[in-house]
Amino acid sequence: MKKKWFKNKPIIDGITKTTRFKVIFIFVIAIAFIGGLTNTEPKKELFTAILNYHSSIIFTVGFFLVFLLATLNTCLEFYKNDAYIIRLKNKKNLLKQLIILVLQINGLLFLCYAIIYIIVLNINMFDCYDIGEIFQYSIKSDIYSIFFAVRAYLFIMMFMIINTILFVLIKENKTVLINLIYLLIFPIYDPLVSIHFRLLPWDYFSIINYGCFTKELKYSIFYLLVLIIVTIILFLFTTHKKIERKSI
Amino acid sequence: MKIEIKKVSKKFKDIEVLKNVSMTLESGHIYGFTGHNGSGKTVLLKLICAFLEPTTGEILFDGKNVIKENSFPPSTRALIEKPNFLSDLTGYENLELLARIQNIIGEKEIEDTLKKVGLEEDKDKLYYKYSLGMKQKLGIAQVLMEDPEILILDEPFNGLDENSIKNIRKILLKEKGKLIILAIHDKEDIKVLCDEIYKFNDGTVKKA
Repeated sequence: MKKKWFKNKPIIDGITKTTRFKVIFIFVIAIAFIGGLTNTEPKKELFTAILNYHSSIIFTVGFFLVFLLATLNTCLEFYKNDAYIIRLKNKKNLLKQLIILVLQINGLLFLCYAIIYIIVLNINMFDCYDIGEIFQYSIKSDIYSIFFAVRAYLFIMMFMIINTILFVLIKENKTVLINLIYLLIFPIYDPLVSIHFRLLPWDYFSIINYGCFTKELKYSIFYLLVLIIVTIILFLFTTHKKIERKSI
Repeated sequence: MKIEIKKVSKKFKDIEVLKNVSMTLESGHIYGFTGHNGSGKTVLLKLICAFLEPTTGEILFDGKNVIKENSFPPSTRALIEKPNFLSDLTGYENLELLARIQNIIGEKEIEDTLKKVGLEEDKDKLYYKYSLGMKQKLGIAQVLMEDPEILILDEPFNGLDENSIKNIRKILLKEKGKLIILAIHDKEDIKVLCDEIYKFNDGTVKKA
């Protein structure tokens, strides 16, 4: 598995050298710098500052779009390579390979973002390491921040896997359209919010008081399971359906 | 190996690029697809490679419909339109990357193929430093290196100088026991290489 993971390095190098990827990378750096420098936390609490910035809806939508663009760019670049694709024997292998590649590229972006953001924030908030509590959760904000980051990472990656499958299934224009509908319609009409099950990714990026941490954890796991089930269904449907490789 | 193309049509939105095309292609022949630009040659090559799906009709490989099975055709290598490699790898590294997918050949076969197409001296050069002709030769090398049963080459002589053309012709003639499909324009190439020619004209195909 480890060998397979590193086998993609030359392809990742190739994709990261495209102009489109460079533009996406600049956006990621910009978001990290803005976050690190614009701190609205009045108290000297570094972790609360991290949570405040990442709870903003503008940040979340922007962050989501950056990863969506990176995913589409990876798919488009990969699909250009006829000689590589024909050797994969079947379309199930093609999809698996593409998903691994998307996870690697997006993982790399996420890591770069986290490192730059933490460095800039630490410079900006030097000596502000007080640790407060989150709501009435009885846990400290540093622990909650780690939970928050892991959850954000997992959810973004799951959404990008789903988008990769959609790309293979219905091509990039329709994938973008579905994402736009999903991102724009639900804030206006989100009936399940009333029963505290939130369908939007950014609901899991916001700081919402669930009453206790266990409840928030349970809802997050449930949402992750829903995403995993949707991914499995889409994967099985796509690998059993006749899929046409996009002609570029 | 036998490819049966049965009443294949391909539409892109409302435009019918291929109209009810039927033909049988077998090992031991070099087939030439000729016709003006946009006549449907490349689309048919992409359909054979299962990169595209026919709107109607079917393509069988030894009786098997690979598109229905969501697979790519067995033992088939193709160079369609322009070669596409990773620009920051050398010619050799690009072939090695492709060879590692199926692991059926090693270093020796890659070296031999590079020598065969005339790239042995440039194998360690980065791909982005390659000339058009060198890129084309590398594209042909990736088709040849794993000794496939079906070779599909779309305008293989693009950008090649006279000596290289003669060399590639020789290589292709040596591979004649296989099923080779060439989309070509040059009359001399057709005369020297092909034993069956299909003429494409606005989506229809006629055996010449």
